[in-house]
Amino acid sequence: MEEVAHVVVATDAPVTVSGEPKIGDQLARDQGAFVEVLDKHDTVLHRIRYDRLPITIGNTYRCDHVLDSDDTRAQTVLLAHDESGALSVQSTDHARFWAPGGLTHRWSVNPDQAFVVAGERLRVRTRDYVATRSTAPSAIGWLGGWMTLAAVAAALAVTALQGWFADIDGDRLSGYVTGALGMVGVVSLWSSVWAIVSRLNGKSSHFLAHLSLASLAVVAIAAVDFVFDSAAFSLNLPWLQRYGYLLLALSLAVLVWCHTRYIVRARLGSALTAAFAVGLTVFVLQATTYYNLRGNLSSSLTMTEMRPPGWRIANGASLDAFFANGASLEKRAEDSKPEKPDGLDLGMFSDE
Amino acid sequence: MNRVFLSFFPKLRRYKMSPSLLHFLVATVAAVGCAASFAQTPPSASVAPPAAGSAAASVNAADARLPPPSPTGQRLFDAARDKLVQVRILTRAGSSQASVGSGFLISPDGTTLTNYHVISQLVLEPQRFRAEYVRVDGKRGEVALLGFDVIHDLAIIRLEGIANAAHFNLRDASDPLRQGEKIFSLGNPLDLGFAISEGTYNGLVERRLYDTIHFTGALNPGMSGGPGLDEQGRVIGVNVAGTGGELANLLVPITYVRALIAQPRDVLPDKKLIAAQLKVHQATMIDALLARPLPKQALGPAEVAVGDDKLLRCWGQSNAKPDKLYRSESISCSLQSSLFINQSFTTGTVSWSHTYRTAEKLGAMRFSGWQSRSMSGTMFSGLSFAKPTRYLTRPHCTEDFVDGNGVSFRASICVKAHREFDGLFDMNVSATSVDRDTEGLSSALDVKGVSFANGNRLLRAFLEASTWKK
Repeated sequence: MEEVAHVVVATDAPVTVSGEPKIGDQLARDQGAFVEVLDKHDTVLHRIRYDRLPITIGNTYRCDHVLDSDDTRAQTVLLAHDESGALSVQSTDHARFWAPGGLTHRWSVNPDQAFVVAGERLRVRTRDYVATRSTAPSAIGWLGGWMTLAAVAAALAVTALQGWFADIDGDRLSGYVTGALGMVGVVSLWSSVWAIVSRLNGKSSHFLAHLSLASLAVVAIAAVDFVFDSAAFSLNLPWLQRYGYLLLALSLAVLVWCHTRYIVRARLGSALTAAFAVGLTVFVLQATTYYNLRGNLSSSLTMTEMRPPGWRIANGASLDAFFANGASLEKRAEDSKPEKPDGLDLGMFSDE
Repeated sequence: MNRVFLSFFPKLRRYKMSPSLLHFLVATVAAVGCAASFAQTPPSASVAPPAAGSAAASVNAADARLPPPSPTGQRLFDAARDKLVQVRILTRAGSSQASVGSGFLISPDGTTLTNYHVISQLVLEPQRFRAEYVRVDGKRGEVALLGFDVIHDLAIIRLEGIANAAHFNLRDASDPLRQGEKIFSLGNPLDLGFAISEGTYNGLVERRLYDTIHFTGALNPGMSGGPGLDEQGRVIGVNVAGTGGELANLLVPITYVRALIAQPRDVLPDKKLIAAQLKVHQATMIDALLARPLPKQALGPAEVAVGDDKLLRCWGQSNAKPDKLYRSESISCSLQSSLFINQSFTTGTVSWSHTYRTAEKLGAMRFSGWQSRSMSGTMFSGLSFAKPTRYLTRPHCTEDFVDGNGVSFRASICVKAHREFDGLFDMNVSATSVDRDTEGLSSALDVKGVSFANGNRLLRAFLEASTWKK
């Protein structure tokens, strides 16, 4: 819940030494407010101006503002200035309301938050209300323009570098072009989806900003993956690669967070939810795949991501130690006998 | 060398009905056969899985005409008619024919010899299958299993309701066969009817763990378990398998038949007996391989284990081309010792390979990437390796940097336990050198159906044998 702001109605009242307006003058100069009726999405259905307060709001015909409500229980609140001059809402029939701040029968008006009277969502604003500036930070500015070009170029360079490492048959242009097109295709598709999200959430798609971020992510993920694989090899930490899918899930979660929070500029909760959902989905998919491959030589993945001998830091085991460490495999294999066969048994003529 | 079992599984007929599948099988068998002939295929391909073997047998069916018999052949066949039987494995539920093979009487009380692989379903799943015999005159009856020898693929059965039957005599051990001697094979090929095939004894097959007769003559699916006869009509062997090669087929020597006949019948012929025999086999196999230090062979600047030339077949391959940035050479070896357990499970084999790679122009970083991808290709080529099956658990692995005899490896060991046969394991070691910038040695060994201790002995000897000589 956002912080509750007390709304001071008067703006041009004489100012005291302490900087506070004089209450009496303030009340005399401005007595008005707007009462808004909202739907569940906080869209304003009606806005009614009241030049003088106090007024009563409720679903009974003696109210100044009569709510068109299905609620049969008579509920009425009083909108008035309190002793300090702040605009407040007070229940007139001793009923307690859920209002910003909790269960109460009197609360200060928060111009950004709704309260419910007789089943209707209401909001009160004064005529000099200024919408609170969005607290979501923005990276739209620096992610556009030249940054887009630089980010896409960096992503292409990383893709080309990966292709070069993998290409031992000499320079094959088609391989590089295919790799680059594949990367650009994926990044563009990803950015387009986020652009649609941006457009749905605001007035602009910010496609270039999304493209920049996705391209930077390609570079970052490649770099992090390389560093982790190198560390796993150098320090003899197979688990680092074995659970590398956690890193991928985390990276994508961070990427989604950045898209949601800094370009779409969604609320904190929405950004966190989106990042968590995507990260969790990727993690579950990866973990399921890994689980299905458990026990495969994939558990020796450092052999599939080796580095030059000079990068090795960890010491080697002697043959005695190596085979002594392997002694536990006998028991582990025996213990796994109760596991039922799963998946496709490639015995073509299996009589099972 | 491929080994194609000659029992006949009618299920395969369905596959024969599909022309496209037949073409595929023909192409596969031709490819495997040619590869074996020209020694360009790694030995792992030489251990034909039963399905492929049966498929090859089906293909042979397309050319099932046997050479016309000589007068000797006619005489032998006339004399043998009453001593031959067809052994049929039937489902208990519907009495549908699951597989057929041949057999031959060796005593008047109905004791009969056939192959283990003919009656394997009876051993492994007696609750689902039963067996019956059919004689040349069409008489049939139930079959009782007396014993088997899974190592040499033999089984001894008794035909119910038989008394005072004519039977074959075994050729005396004091009268060994001579290469070039005319021999004959009998059986019921393709369930078409009993037939005789004339051929030549060409000695024992070289580089096999157990003696096997090299019979140059036609054998077809359905003849498994039939007798091999000399010109006097005495049994010299039992039909067991084809090789995928034309007229190059295999018989089990009579020596093993005598041993099986002589075995006491106080052990139930069930899975436990298979396990016991597999343990004997693995001990024999490992002892034979490690009887002396593993022989070595140069591979680039390295020296690697290739095994005893009298036991293992090795193939070499090189892709050194002037327009490439790299060069690789490899050696693959395998022991011809595969044991048939059922149609989807064979065991008791050893195979290994070494690959030397060098690529100065690539640089250390790209070279290490190439090494990695090569290992990855090896590891992920068969995802089924990761899954537990009816017969094997999933593998359990460990890995580490290992400083061997002059070579530093990144090495892993993986172990699967046999689910049905206690105390037996499939084991694998994969290792790739990590001590030179632009050249490397990758080695892998697979051994199936061994005790953990014996597997470790072999794996260790294998790793210890690799050294850099330059």
